[in-house]
Amino acid sequence: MKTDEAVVKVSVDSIKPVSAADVKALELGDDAKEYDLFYVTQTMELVSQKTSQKNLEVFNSQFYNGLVGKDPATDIILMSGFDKCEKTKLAKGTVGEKVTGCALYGAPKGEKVTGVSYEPNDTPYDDFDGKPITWTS
Amino acid sequence: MPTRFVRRTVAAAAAALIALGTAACGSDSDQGSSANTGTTTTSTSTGNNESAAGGAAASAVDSAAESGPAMGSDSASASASESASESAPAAGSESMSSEASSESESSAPASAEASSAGGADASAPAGNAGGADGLTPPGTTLKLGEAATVPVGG
Repeated sequence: MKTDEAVVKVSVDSIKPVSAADVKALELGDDAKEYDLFYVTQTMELVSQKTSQKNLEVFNSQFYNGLVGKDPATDIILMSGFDKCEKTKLAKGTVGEKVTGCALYGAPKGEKVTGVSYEPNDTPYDDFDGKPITWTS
Repeated sequence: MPTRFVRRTVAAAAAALIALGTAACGSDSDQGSSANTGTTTTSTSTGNNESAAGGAAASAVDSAAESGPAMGSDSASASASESASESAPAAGSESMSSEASSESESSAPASAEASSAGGADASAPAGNAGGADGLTPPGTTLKLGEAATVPVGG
């Protein structure tokens, strides 16, 4: 991963349970019955950049892991859109612009997603040979 | 019979792979033997082991080993005694030492990268490389709503 293209401020803003009605509407099938689902909302502000870009991979799901305590939560990848958990994209790619992100995670039934870690590969925040940044509720 | 042949082939291939893996990853034993020939090799090979192990904890040990006493001196004294008892095989030991030194040269930047990247905070939590340039240091824990400043790619 290139990490020299831009600098951003990124925050994990909230971790909220997905309502039973929304879970039902997602039609995730039987596998999802083992999990309680949670939204994680994020905000990113572009601080600086070397070249103007609108497609910075800030909210790439591979960079983040939901946490149930210290254990990883289950990543829920939706193939279709879900209007209650959408990402926005940079419109201009200019410094100061803000966008929002959202991700879905599953915790084992009865447990909660309590945090999120940021750990993109090949960076100092990599979980393998670096140390992730962690947000906790 | 054909089945037996295949099995043997697979077993032989597996053995070859294991051997290759041992040769590739077995820098520990290589360096252990190369330690016979010198202190320098011994100390850098220690660094190589640590970078192979990877991670933040490694860098803490790295700096300790580089600065001297603990691991370096132990292995140095061991190599000295070994070289006294096994000093004879001239050509063999020379090639071993040259291999080892080239390995250790390549290992040095690797451990340096590890410590300058994420590992630095393991040995010196306050003086993290990330903090100096305005970036959030690796390993930081934040509350919801707090922002981290990180570099990203396009």
